[in-house]
Amino acid sequence: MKRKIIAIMLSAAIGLSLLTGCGDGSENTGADSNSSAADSAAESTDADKSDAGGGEVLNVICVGTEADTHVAGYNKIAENFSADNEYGVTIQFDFYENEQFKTKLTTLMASNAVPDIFFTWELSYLQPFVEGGKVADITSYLEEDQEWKNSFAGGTLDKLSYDGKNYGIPTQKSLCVMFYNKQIFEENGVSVPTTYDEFLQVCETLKANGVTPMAMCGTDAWIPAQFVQQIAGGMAGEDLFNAICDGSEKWNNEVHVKASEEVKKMADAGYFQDGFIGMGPEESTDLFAKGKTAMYFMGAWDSDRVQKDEIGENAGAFVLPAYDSKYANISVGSVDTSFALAETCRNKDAAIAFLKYWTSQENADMLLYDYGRIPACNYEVDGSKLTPLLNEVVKISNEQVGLTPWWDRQFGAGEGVEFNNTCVSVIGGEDAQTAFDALQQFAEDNADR
Amino acid sequence: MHNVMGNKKSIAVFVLPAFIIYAVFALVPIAYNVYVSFLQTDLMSPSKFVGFKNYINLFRDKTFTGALKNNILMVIGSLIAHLPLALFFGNILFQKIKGSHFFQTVFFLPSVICGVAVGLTWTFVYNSQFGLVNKFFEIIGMGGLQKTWLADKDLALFCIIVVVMWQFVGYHMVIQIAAMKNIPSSYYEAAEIDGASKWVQFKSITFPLIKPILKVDAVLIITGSLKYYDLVAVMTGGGPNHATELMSTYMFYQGFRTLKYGYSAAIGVILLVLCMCSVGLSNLVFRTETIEF
Repeated sequence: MKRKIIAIMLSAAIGLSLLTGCGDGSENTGADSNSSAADSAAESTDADKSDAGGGEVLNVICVGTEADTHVAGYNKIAENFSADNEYGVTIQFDFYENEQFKTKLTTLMASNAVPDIFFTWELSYLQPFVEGGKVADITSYLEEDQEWKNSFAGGTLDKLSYDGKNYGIPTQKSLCVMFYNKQIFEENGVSVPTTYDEFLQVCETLKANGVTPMAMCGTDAWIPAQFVQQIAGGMAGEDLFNAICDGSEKWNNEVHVKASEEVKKMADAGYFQDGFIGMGPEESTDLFAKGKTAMYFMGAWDSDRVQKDEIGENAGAFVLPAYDSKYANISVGSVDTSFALAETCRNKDAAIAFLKYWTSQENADMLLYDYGRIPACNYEVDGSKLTPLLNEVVKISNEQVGLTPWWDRQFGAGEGVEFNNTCVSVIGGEDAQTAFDALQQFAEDNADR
Repeated sequence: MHNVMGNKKSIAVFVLPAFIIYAVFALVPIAYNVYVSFLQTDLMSPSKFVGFKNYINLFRDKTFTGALKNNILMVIGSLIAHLPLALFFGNILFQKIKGSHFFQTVFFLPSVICGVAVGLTWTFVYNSQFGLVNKFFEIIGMGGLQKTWLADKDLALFCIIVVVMWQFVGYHMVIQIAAMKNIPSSYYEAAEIDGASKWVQFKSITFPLIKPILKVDAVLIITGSLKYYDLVAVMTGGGPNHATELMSTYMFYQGFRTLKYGYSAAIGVILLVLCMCSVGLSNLVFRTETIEF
């Protein structure tokens, strides 16, 4: 009898471990494909039903969480479009957290179950999906409607073009700015720096006065990495960026090494908050938004989130002064919140109509004035409708002579993400030259995988 | 009844449903995975057959060898916590002490909590700003030992191993106690009369008699820690800079982030081979004859 009990216990144990095995899988793939199967089942029934009623549902997946104020704006656009459009379609939005979204989209892509319209990053993020034939070519739609095509600022559509064909529509322009707290600056008698040395001086003064100069986050590697990239841009300009892209310059060039060492020096000097290396983006954004640090280097997309927090009207923005003044006004930035159509999209005309509606003057107004999203189209900004912070951000955006896209968008999850990791590991104490040599080695090996 | 069970065809009928499910969800995917591991593919564009190149590249990939090393550390850590330590606790609770049932439950509890919840809870414990660990050092006046635990590339993995040890020690303890309860108490009574100490009783009666169970347990521990995923994914996501990457998390990263599915499948095959080797190895180490009580 007792032996039986043991046998049962052990088989239960093995069964349990099998179950946990499944659990692991379902987190990444199983759940996704299950839910997508459920989704598509729901879709098809929805579609069947609505077909009878003369309408159909277009599914859109997008990155966003409850904490993002702009999600409400996106939903509003979808509702307005669904309420009245000539195709009689209803737009169904689904929002996912950033990492979750990436897993979801890659899984859906590989299993041929992509929603009709999907959020995408530009450049190398979309490229494999385009090459895999999963993304609809929308060149003809743009050609047919020259007015729409020309409404996009020069070069923005190119970031979503492959082999001369257009595959995506950007809805936002984005760049990195240094947010600062005007009140803290005033109290400590410092003003917006115009040179890199002045910037370091401001940090030093703030630090000496017991104020944490900058909020930084170490757990999400792209955040310190975009800071390194910004400084590198100020050291060598766009040429460096282009040279790395076309392969004539190596990842372990001295500019990268020097730029990452600069950030490391700032960390050692205590310019970032204590324990930043173990802090997530929410915490570090909060530090600035609650007025606990003087500065915060982040994409302009955080403007709205910041100005709606405690800091409010005290928030300002400036461009990080270039290390070498001849490379002033070159920032990390690109188009943002782009959307593409799946090759399997059930109603491409309606989907294009939706994107046209999204990028129309009316909605660009709403997104800019209510949610601080800078439109990707050419645009007359009415400064009086903007908050002071957004006025500064828009002004910075117009002043930039060059924007270098984030490395992890230009190179995707290979070299791009490894660049981010390399920056964090330098800030965490690894020798910069060794770290970037390893990155170069990785880049060479990765080409062959 | 004997007629039915003696007939091979009828056995097949009974086994078939389970076998089909097993084949569809385990054997076929494994075979497909082995096939994919010889390709260079993102599962969308046409794939290219590259033979063993993925495997050769893997062993030149510092991140992968790092992950392999981390996995080995994880196996060692788990073996320490889940065999000797669990045996130690199990043996104490086996000695009919007061409240042994209560403590069995307490020790077992962490292993029923879902891994993600455990991970999140421990992330708070290790938090550098308000975490328990740093607060503890502050209170006892050793603030110098405060660290950014999970963000330190030298410490993060050990922090996670400690959690794994904590989480599953009770689970293996309960398995081992169940085995101990199976031993007839007359053996211990006889030993006591002969004047054997508790240690001798453990060494000469308990341990040899529960060895077959320990073997199964060791297989569970080793394969479990080889394919470990959830705590790392929740607590560090493999970071900082791949320092806590395990083979399973790296496999996920290569597959779902960089879309190198062939490369990722090769990691899966290596994981499979390692699990099979470890089963063979523990069979060898714990070779025993069947015991009839």
